[in-house]
Amino acid sequence: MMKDSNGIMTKTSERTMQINIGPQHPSTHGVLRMLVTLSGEQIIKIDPIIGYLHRGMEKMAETRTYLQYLPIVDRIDYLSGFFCSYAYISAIENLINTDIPIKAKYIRTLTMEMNRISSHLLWLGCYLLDLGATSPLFYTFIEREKILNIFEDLTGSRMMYNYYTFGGIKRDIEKELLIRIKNFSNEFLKAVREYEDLITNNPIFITRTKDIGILSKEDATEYSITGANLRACSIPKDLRKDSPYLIYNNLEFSVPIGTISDSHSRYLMRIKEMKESNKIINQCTDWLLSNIEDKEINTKINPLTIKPNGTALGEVESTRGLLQCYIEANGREFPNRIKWRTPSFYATQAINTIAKGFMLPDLMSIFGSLDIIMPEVDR
Amino acid sequence: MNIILSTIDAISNWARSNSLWPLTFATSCCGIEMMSVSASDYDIARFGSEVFRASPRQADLLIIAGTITHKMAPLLLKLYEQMPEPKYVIAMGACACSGGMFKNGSYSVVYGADKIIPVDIYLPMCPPKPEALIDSIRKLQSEIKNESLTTRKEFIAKHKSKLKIQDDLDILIQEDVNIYRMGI
Amino acid sequence: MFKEFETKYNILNKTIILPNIQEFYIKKENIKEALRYLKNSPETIFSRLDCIIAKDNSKNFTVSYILNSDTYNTKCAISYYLDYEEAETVSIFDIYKNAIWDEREIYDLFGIKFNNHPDLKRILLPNSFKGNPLRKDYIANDERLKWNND
Repeated sequence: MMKDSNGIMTKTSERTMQINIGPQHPSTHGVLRMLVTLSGEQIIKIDPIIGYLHRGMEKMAETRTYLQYLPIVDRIDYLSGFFCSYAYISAIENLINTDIPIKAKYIRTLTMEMNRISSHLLWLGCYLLDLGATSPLFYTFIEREKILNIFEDLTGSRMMYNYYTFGGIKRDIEKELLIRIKNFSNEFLKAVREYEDLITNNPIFITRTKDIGILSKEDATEYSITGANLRACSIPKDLRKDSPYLIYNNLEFSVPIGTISDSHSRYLMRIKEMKESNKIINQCTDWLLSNIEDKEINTKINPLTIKPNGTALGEVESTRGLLQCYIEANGREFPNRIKWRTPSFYATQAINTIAKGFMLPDLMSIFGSLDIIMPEVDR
Repeated sequence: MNIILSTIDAISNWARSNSLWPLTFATSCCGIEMMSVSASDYDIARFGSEVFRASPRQADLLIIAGTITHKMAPLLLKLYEQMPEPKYVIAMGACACSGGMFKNGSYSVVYGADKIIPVDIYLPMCPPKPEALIDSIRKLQSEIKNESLTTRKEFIAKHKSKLKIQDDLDILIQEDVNIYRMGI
Repeated sequence: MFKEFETKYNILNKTIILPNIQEFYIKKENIKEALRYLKNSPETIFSRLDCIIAKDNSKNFTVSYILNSDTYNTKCAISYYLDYEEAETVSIFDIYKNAIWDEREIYDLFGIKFNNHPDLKRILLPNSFKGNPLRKDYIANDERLKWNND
């Protein structure tokens, strides 16, 4: 029994407490703020407060030409910039009705899948860091740096690539780089095995993640959660299989499906996804190595003169789920409206439903496993 | 007297410059590069700055890694004021230096962190490479080695924040006051 | 698959969002019933709301709902016009739960009010911010924006 501020005696179990987490907190992956209502250590309610990184990207599009907006697109999701670029560019390619050369399709697929791996690697390191394990970060960053070095040689930048252009890609991929990618993908499986040895069966990791943060099938659909978080609760939804874009039709890969979506199975989904992405990289490099003479990478559209008309929706299965870019063009050089549908926005919204009833220390395990990235939430 | 003071300055500056503890203040893209700096390939521990602190009260270097928005600005000031003296600031990335690519057309981005707090080192690029961040930390170290207490005070007094703590901070942080109070 | 839907609700206009999404313009009053029908009817089963898109056409607003059907693997869009002065419509959070934040975002950036919404307040901008920036007639007159200029 305890006295509250009015001097009325209440049972300790009936008293609630509000604590504030963020926006400057190492485990919120950026600038998310959460107001957590607790009863003892049990979470009763979470109220996520977003907008600390709202940069007004949708308004900026209205004062820029389609080409000028292209570099900004990479910043919407800085861990996987290729996906945002692709969503934006595929919408415009639909509007101006172009088809891109087959080699550009292969290179786009290759870069996107490598980007998926690099993003997952960063997630893996940070997630384990959130749970208190320092060393996995150093292991995953070794492989991540290899990918970033390849990207730097290919596009000129480590994170903000600005590599795709309307009707293709900007620069051809060289043979030496392809061999480097091939070597990387051969070694990568070994690295993943190493992570799994370190993490998957670690008893501390299992206690902190197994049966924590269970997301039911119904809630996942209601809250429009996509990506690995959705596939972990045994809903086989992946845009690469459902409505294949680029050359995913020709590739052999499977979509990993879980049974119960708890933190541990969401972790397993991403590990398996990395292996599948590695398969795709292998197939793409094989094709590109055998077609090294093909020099056609671009349909040579002048990006300065694009003045499309109509509405289009560019879609891509990004690292975190379904990413959509809606463009309404009205025949001028500026778009009328651009709207980004980002998967993290909806995952953040569902935190309250997922984490309710669990303990406060579990919150970081749940939040980390959802793979939320703040610029995507706030745009 | 001068000789004694300058000797004390030299010793304390040497100690300070080689143990800069940064705050993990990562708002956006540059935060990832800041992470790479502390990870295996670049290893900032070589220069004594690997101890990333989560609490501003234990840190003496604020690396503003990313865009500062108007919603975030009062919190940046609050964090800066919570840091103990002596404290140093690196504005990492174009956004923190001047607003960067969001300077034209964005309604919610602060055009440079120096509108809010005094900045020692500006590091442009979008985002800077890890080598560049290491270089700017080295530059800050050499600056610290040559400074004296009086010049430092002048530098901080010269800066005027656009943000008035009384009004702006209070409106936005008012919610916080309620949060720390125990509810029924 | 939309035959019954088209006869049941008065379709004002039909367009296509590229590459292949059908967009139906309906009356504002029917929106809640139409969405509930599309979600529950066995011919459509649009179990998922991808996003809500608001647009400012200078004279009026368009509000579009992008729906997604897991069962039939299709998408469609339901839209309606909204008067500029009125800027008030009905919340659909009891049909699709993820509409709560979408509607808050539209309220924040466009100033469109959603009736019956459980928690309608600004989401991305500070609570004390003036104006709705994604409107075409937005003038940056918030105090905070002034210190950017000097």
